[in-house]
Amino acid sequence: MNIVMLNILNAISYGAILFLLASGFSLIFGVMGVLNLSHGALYMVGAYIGWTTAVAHGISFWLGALAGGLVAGLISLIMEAGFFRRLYKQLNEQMLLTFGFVYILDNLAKWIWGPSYRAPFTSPALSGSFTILGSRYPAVRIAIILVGIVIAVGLWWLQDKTRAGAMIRAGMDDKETAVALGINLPLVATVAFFIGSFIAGFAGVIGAGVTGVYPEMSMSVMLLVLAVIIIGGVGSVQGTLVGAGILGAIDAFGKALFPDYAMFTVYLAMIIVLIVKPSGILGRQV
Amino acid sequence: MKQSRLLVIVGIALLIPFLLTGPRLATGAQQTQGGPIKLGVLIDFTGPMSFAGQPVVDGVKMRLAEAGYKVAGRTIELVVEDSATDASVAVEKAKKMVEKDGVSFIIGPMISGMRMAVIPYLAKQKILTSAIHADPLESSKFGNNLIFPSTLTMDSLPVAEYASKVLGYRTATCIGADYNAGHEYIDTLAKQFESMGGKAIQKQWAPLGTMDWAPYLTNLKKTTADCVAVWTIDSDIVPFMQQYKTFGLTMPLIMPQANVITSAIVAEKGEIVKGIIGNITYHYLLDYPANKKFVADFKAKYKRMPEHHEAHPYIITSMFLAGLEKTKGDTSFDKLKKAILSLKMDTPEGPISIDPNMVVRANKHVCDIQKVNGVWVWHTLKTYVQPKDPAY
Amino acid sequence: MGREPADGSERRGLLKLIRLVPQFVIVLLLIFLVPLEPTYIQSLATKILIFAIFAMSLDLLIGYAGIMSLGHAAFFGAAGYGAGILAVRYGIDNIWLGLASGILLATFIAAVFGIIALQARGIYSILITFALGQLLYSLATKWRSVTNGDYGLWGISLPALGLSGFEWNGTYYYYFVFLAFLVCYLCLYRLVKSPFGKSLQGIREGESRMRALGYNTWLFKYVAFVIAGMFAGVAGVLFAYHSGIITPGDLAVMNSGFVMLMVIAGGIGTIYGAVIGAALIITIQYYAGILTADRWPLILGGVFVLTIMYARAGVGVYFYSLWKRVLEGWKF
Repeated sequence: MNIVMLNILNAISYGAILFLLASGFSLIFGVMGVLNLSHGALYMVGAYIGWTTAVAHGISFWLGALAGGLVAGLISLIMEAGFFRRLYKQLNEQMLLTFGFVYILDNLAKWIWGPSYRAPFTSPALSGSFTILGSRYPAVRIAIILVGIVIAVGLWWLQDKTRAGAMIRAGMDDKETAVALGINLPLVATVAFFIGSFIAGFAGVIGAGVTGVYPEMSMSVMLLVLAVIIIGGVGSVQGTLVGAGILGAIDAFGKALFPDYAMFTVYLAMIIVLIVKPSGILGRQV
Repeated sequence: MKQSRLLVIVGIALLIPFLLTGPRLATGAQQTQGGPIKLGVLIDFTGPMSFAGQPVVDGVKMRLAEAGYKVAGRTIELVVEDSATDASVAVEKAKKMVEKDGVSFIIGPMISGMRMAVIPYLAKQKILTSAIHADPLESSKFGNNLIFPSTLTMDSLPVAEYASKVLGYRTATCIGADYNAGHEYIDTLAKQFESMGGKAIQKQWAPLGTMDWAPYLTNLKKTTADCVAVWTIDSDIVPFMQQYKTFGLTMPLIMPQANVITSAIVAEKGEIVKGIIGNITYHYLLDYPANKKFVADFKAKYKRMPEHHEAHPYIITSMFLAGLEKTKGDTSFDKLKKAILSLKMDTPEGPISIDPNMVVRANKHVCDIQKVNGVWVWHTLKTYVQPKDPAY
Repeated sequence: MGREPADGSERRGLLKLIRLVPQFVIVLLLIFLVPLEPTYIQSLATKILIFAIFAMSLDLLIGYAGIMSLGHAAFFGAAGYGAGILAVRYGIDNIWLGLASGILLATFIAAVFGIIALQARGIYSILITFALGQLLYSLATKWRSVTNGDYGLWGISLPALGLSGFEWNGTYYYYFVFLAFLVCYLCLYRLVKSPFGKSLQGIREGESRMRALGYNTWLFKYVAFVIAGMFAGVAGVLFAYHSGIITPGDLAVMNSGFVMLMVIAGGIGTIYGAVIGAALIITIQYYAGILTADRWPLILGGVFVLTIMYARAGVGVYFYSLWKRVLEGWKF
């Protein structure tokens, strides 16, 4: 396969993983304004649940992915109802709360599943590779791209084409008017929080086909998520796609062209975007 | 208001005994002759290296249990603290263990950087310590560091020699994790390889947590070399090997410090990681009588197979106990050090002896991954008997 | 208005002194009690005072200038590296030069970062400061020839004070840090009570209003940012000497979050709150770690959560208001 084509495919598949990581977070941040630093931990919990279902108990992989999403969503409901609701509008406090949740979730995961690394696992159907343009490309990555597309389309449809989406966008843009129009914002927020966290947990299981699972991944995932939304902007599916795509491209081509400075190119891109347009490329003006 | 006045009076009253307790002497100085002997374990239970914590403690406890937590008529107490994958925390805890608990020996911390922060302090306090994995030779200058299983060089030298002399490889393209340990292992391997007439033609560095090895593998596809020298941590090596295979690369692979691929990972992912020829200090099929017994006992007690995480601390604890047998329970620094230096033992890793600079001479094994009796395991190809680091 | 009776002003003078009793007692304890404790406790006390300086500097930023920062540890760590590199790579054995180089480096980096960080407001400043901090973290990790990479720069021994015949030990260093802490505390206290400090608070409470009044709010915030970075640098140098090693983790977002927690726990917008927060969090982390070597993050995380839920104004503020009520009860 042509090297450039290979790198483009790499960029797309890595971008797809990043999109899965960040899309849920962007939804939550956009709607509730909460910087949920424990989003990465939810991804990790989903992955562990998926592992327990699919590997430890040999039950269907896809059921495991569903379970991962549901457990993550459930945890988010506990967080929302038990904690965030009581800190209405105190965004800094909410963010710090999520910092505390990271400590707790990380350590609980270590306690339940042990601190060692779990190797990548996926559905038996996805463990082979396809031959694309003369080279073999892992099926699991194609699956990740497809899942990414499905979720992107789903979220976009929700955001632009449904009433629920309109309510969410209204809440993001102008809370007072939204409430005045009778929109039940707390319910909207809770639903958005659940959806965003579900996606995180679900993505954790899907992505585990490439990354595996280990306790420290919550922090590394979180850093990637922040990078995506810094570049792409918060609050819209398109923004997250752009951020994920750019980061995927930087990763693939950066490593190919400037192998020693891979991490730098990412941070440099973040800083450039932050200087030129602090709210991100497609972010809402702040 | 009477209540507040009362509050203040009570507060001051409580303060007085607190102030009057006077100088609290550092009662922690270790007791060299009588009373219990304190053995300290300082290891990461939290932070990125937390996978090491419990296994290390398990290994130490197993050996202590075998000895009935007694040696030379004195009881042994274990003091375990978390070094949190943070050098300043490690120093803090080391101070507490020495000054409050009165430990005579500290096993750990694990990471070289943290060790270099703690060893000088322990040297000043005249407390012996030991690594769990290799230490840089530089650390021997402090005089209190038992370097086991050996220096960093010995994690590379045997496999470099095997690749060069036995397999006849002349060129190697290298890929390592882009952090200190990765650079150390790969640079050392490259150096050893080149000292034997080979040539390291390329070096690539991948950040930790690299999920997508495609860019590096793409570069490898463009390269012709006799072999690929690789080193990264367990969570990265499996995706690497998986993608290596699906990218259709066929160059053989050699790996220094291959212990990061634990027997558990080999058992589960043998199909993926096979093809690596690695430098192994310990695997559970090592053919030594002491190991057969160790593995049987360990499996009975912990219901899993031992890794180097448990075997190394087990052996270090054995050395500690053997040294104390020789000093008849005297833990004072000079006597214990001298006793340990004079040890010659049979361990689950084979025979060991200790050089004057406290570097332990232990066997090294070059292994590949094979299916034995239906289980994927490390399989010894060649044993290097107590090799010595040429740097001293 | 008639003349006050003579003993009224005396009483008011006495009143002022009584209000300061808690501070007085704490200072006395710090001067006389701590040195009597075993050296590893003194070491812990030293660490608390260092982080107290670090937390106070962040409080200037969060509590007074209203700038949320998830990258404050960048200045702390940079100063530590400045002092460390001077000692280890250049062998310069002078504590004053070490302090100067570390603090200057931190201030310089704050001056540069401040220009970028103040571009955005609110939650976005968190993102920018996070990105900047992580940039410095990846630099510290990669520039192995200078920083020794992720192992950290070890071998930082306490440099000479400049007094002949003087040998450092843990207790002397504790006093040194304590003096530094007093100086920083007094400086920051005066700063926040000054017109500059009051203007900052005005900006924090309503920036557009202040701008309408003709204040160059950006300049005020920028100066605050740089000063905060400078004081973080003081803490960073002291920390490097205290631990004998400085690692990239000391620059990273976890450390920034950690110190932010101290500020919030103690009470934002009160310089003393940061001090109490530092003491609280470090003590809890230390003893929780001894209690359970592997489950202590649950305790610390739990404390995080409980503090934010139930002691939102800060534990320090809570105790202070308690003291005020006691005074009122005694009719002071």
